[in-house]
Amino acid sequence: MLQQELIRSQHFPTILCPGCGHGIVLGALLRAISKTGLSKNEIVLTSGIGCASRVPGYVDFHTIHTTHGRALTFSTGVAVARPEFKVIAVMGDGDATAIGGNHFMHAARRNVNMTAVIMNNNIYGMTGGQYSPTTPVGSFAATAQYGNVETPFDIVALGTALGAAFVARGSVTEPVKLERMILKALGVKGFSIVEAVSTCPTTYGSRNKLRTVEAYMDWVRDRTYDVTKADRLTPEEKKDKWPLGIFVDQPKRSYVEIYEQEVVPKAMAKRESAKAIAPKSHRMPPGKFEVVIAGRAGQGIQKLGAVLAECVIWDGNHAAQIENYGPAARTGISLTEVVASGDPIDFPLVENGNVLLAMTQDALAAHLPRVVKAANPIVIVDSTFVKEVPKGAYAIPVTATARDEFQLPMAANVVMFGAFAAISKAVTLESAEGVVSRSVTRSVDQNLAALRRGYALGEAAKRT
Amino acid sequence: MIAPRKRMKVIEGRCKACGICLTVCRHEALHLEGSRIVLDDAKCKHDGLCTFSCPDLALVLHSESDRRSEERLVPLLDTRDKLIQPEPGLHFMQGATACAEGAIAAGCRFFAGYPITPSTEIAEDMSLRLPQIGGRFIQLEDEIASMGAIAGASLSGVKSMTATSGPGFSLMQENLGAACMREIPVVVVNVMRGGPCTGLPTRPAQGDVMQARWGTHGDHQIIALVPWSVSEMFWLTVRAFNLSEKYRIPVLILPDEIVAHMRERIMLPDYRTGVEVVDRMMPTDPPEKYKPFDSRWQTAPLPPYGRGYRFHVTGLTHRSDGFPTGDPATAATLIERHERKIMDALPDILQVDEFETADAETVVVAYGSTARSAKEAVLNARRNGRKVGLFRPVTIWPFPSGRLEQLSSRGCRFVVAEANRGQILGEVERVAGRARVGSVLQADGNPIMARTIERVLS
Repeated sequence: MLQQELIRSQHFPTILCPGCGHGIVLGALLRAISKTGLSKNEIVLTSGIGCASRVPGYVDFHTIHTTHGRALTFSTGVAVARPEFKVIAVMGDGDATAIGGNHFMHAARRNVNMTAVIMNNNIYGMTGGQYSPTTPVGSFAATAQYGNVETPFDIVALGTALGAAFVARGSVTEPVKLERMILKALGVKGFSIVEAVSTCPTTYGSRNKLRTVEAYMDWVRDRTYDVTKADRLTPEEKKDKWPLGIFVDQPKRSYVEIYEQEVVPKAMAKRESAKAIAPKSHRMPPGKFEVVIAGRAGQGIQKLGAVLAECVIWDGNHAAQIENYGPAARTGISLTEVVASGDPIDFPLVENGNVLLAMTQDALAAHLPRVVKAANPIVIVDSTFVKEVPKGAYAIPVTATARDEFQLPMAANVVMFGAFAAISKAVTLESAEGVVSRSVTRSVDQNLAALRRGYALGEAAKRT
Repeated sequence: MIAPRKRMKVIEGRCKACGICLTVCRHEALHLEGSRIVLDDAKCKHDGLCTFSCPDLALVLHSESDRRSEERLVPLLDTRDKLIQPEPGLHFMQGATACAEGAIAAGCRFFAGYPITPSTEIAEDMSLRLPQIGGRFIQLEDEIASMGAIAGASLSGVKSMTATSGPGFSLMQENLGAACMREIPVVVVNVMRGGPCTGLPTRPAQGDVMQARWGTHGDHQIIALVPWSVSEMFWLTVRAFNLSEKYRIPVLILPDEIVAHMRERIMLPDYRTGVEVVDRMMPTDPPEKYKPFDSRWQTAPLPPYGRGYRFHVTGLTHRSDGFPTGDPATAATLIERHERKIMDALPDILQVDEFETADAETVVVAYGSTARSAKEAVLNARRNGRKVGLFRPVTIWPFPSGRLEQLSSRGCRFVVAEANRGQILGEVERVAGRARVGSVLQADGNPIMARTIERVLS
């Protein structure tokens, strides 16, 4: 394919100023692409904002002119959703390393399959020549009227440290070498970076005594050296200069390759179709059960809430459960709420509580006030931990039972569930057994036995 | 066979006479004459050296026999046979999970996100489910990247979603506008929590309603849906995808923390047969005639990448072919079309839910979990003989003004109940005319209880 075939020639001349180095990088990029053998339909080219970012308008691929610094974010979306494309992000120095610095960092670390071409002219050109993260110290810019004092980024060192699969630096003064670097970068699996040292005669050159293209090009030649010849130069000769060449060429698996090889097989092995509930027609006692379940983290409070509410639905009734709502985060009490009724539920939270399942003394103290106003509240406490049992409450040693009779202290919540079922008649034991056997992954029989024991304890229990 | 000789050419109209080529040519074959570069054919060796340095691609070395390359196409993979779903029927499910399942049922196969309470469960479910069904999940460095990635993925042809909460939604605004301007179908779930700033991360609120409408800069259109149940978390996610595909527009889903975190019953359909799925319109024109913003339609077709339709999109004001322009008339046409494509489709887009409004003298306006309290308040008020109804905007943007105006002209009074300081109240006041508008506003991290609304009704 020819370079001329890859462009949208109707949009030329480009918007770039006369002598802008970015056009030379564009030429090198197109020649490199023409040598890959890729079809135009196989290429997605994105850009951010700035002079460099106008490139996609001129090339005949799938092109996205994105937002400032965000070329790599759109690119990541394309490259991960449709890895069959070669994705190229063309960015400027400010675009890639200032506003887009975080994306650049993580794209390199993540090694998504794409090529970043960074046109580095050491200045924000489109906005009129403000200093960028790569402006050399002492250079003048519209916002560095007394010379830049900030330490510049070395894009190559940055990309290398971030773990990119391929890192190279070329220059507009050596367009054929630049083209070869880009061609190599395009062939890399993973995140490849080509920094192209570029020029901005309009805003950088004019402020820094580089008023002719010849002078500017000579300045670039003077400031760069071939990294393969670095040994022949003294440290003094290399000071503040940019080495050109390939610095990293270390193919490694890209994000999508790893995803396909490691994540997908595990996910496919875990494919299962959760069974639907076959609801029964248990008639619940009339009215609403507004259940507060509280204890400390590790007692399976949330699980108890979820199992209880699901059981209500198995019985053919209605329930809503919400986790951790309320003061839980502040007091360290684990809390869940269930509203259950034979009729559809409007407000899903406990407004007028009438059931409290308290697994610790603290939880009881914190939440007892929420149910005491009810006509005939059901308060069930774990007497293993609750020593001050309020009048009218049911005291059942649920943790002690789970621990001593079943050697399964984790099943305390199941014992509590059984006791609740027996005392409230809100759910049937049959559904409770069904939900519990589906909800626990280990020791199913022991859990079921603990449930039945809890139910028996509940049936025998008397209000204190 | 002797290869035909390649010859140098200066393409007029591209050259800006910068003079770089003069410094490169070794044969003194190029000269600057006035403001153009002229090639001296007698001196030129046709080695093409100058072409490498020309920033305007104005110098070319070509031969008549240069072949045009053939175009290969890149098919969009069909993942339908990989779909697996929970058995159709009754389930007990969390709102977040229902949202993820709704997205899957609607055809979403890409999710990018960043963890934030209380929306993270949606990302967790998508990271579990997508690799099971031929989709891909990625956790990115922030919400800016997440929003950009789903816009890119959708543009390439894969239905995409992200989920976030207040602070993350703030970060998404720039690229949300990017999707608006490029007319990219995407779905963004914003689980509303207490604000401003970090606010009350684990508490419910409805404080992002105005940000949903006007968060990104500039005049733009947006669709936002507010679910009030686990079932709606599923079905409104399906609807959000369908609307976004149909109108090429970002669609927001705005559950509050309660709706996203609660578990309740849901009847799941068979995703293959029981869910109506709308896909973006495909072009019928050949690629050379295709324009991504073709004004023959209010919503132009949008082909996936790889099928020969290579088009350009930009955030700059653009023509129907996608390329930028500063022309005021084109800018006006663009913005007006964006507006018209939504306003002309209001009957399709607007969805409201009314309860006991037929004879109501007072209508409570509420949405999300607040509407569930409001419904209880309305039921209790009815039991006490008061003619009260509930108006629940399911589509909250565009705002369903028309129906409220009808109720208002019938003489209804309104009570707006919302977990913020009056964001939709302003909208209701705007359309209520002379009707009295009361309010129950609460932004303390607690849900609005039915009895609080009842006090205002009595």
